[in-house]
Amino acid sequence: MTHTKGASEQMATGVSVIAGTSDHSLCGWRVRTEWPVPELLPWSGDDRRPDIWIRMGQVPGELDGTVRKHPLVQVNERGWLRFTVRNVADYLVRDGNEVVIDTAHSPDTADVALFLLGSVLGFLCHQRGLLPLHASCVEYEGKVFAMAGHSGAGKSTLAALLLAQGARLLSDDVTVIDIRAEGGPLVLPTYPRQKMWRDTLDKLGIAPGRYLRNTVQLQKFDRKVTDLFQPARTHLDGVCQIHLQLRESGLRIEALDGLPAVRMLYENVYRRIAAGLLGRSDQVFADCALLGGQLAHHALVVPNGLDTLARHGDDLGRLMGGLR
Amino acid sequence: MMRAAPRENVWLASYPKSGNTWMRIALGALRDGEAAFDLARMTNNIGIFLAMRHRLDMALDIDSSDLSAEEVHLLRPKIYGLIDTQGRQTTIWKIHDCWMRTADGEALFPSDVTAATIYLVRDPRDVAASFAHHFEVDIDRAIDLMADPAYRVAAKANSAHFHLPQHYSTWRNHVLSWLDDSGHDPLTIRYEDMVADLASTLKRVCATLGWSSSDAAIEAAVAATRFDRLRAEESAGKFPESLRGDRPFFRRGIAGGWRDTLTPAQATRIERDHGDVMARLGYL
Repeated sequence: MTHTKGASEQMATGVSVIAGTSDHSLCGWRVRTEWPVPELLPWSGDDRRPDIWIRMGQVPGELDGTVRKHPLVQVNERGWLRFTVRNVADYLVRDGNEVVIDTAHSPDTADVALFLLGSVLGFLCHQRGLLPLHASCVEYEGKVFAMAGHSGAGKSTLAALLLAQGARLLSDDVTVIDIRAEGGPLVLPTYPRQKMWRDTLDKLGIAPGRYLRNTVQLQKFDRKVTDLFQPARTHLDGVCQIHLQLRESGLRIEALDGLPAVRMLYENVYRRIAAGLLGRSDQVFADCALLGGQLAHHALVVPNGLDTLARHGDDLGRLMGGLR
Repeated sequence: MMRAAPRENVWLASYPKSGNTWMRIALGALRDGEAAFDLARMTNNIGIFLAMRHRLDMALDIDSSDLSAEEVHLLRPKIYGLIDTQGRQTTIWKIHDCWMRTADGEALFPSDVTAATIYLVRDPRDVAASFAHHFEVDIDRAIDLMADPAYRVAAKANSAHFHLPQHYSTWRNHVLSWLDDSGHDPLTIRYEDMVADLASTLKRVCATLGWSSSDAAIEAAVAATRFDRLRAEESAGKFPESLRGDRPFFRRGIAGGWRDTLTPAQATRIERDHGDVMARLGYL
């Protein structure tokens, strides 16, 4: 880990100062951050300049030249994006390579990094022309699958069940895809943590890691899975959309082809509204159409209920292992 | 704030177990026509449940599960005009929250996006029996919860919910919040009047919604939503909102069933807790 005292470069707008920085790896980028992000692995790559800077500073309440607004997001004419999470932080995300964090919290809170590794990662991807899916991603028996679904669909739970079957994790919750990489779509692995609800951890017999939110309705913890992490950029083989069904007692999988696959991908684009505010709607749709034609896509129907699901780890392994 | 033009919203509000689902199904049958009646699809198409977590997530491009209950509550009024209503200008929303303001002072169901408010109400002694069945508690516990001003659902701290936290308050406060505090001047529909004469009740609702439904259409909708028919369809697995286990959602569908279900002491407790509002609505 590289530590430097003070920032080596000053920013264009007001920067308050800086305790220290460290370099980490995220999606293969060298990320230099003034805010602690213990979820990330330390940078162990070459001595390139940082790909992304995360700094502390002031974020204006209203961006100059704002052209589009949503309740939590503003975008200005330069494509800079302002994101606010009340009681946590304001984030300014620009040019796909810089994040300014404005927060009253002290660095020991997990909240600021939680949204940095969630929404802000999604915004950076859109600015960099990458496709983020709301999906967890694992490598299992030599194949890489993203498991997509909205919050609460069971992405992390299914990934945890597969990890117990010998899979390795590439990402939890947000799967970053480089559609136009040579040789087909690549997954850019994020970091070796899972974000899980307390009841899921208990049911699967997993010890909770860091408590993620102080004032939550749902107690979320992280789960460190460094030994089960696959950090190399890897070809993506397929996407499964998770469908929870109340009356299912087992798991089944159905192929999705053509337009249903494109629609499924589009509906699972992470921070899709922000992509629209950034003027990228058409590009995102084109990416989904391209990806829809390239890969195997499936609907993965699973029982809605942790008790039932927890008993089906073996079945899940068999189903996923059978996908080609 | 740049927003899409406000769509018109109809709030179909009630304390739970007061006929909200029945009314949604009847309005669905009326809107789509009896020939197209399909219970399996109906409840998705009309009376959309506003407290579904994913609707807020989709509208605001966030994961509300990362936010505290208080943070989510402040965001709830921000979603109107941002929810995909499948092109419909007027959207009917099913609501069980009491009418209230957020900590920021914003109305949870703001007047300026409201086309009409329909408030469904039922004798709380019957509500108690139905509530106990639905939520799998005994009747005394149901009576306790109906008298708890802090009563909230989907707010448990250690597990996932598909619904956002909703504040019910007491049965009495719930009624008064919608009838008096909201300023919406709702059309109040009694469950007992639906049981006695659904056709007349639907006519009043149609007048409020501005629907010009013929008498024949209303009669067809009444036929499609007869209790025995709903119950049979549920038994055949065609009702998507069935309860867990073998308990039927459509339980008895009658008015005054409390007389053979509640003890005199239980009925007296309810009358003591909510008597003034019961009297106002003709229940005492």
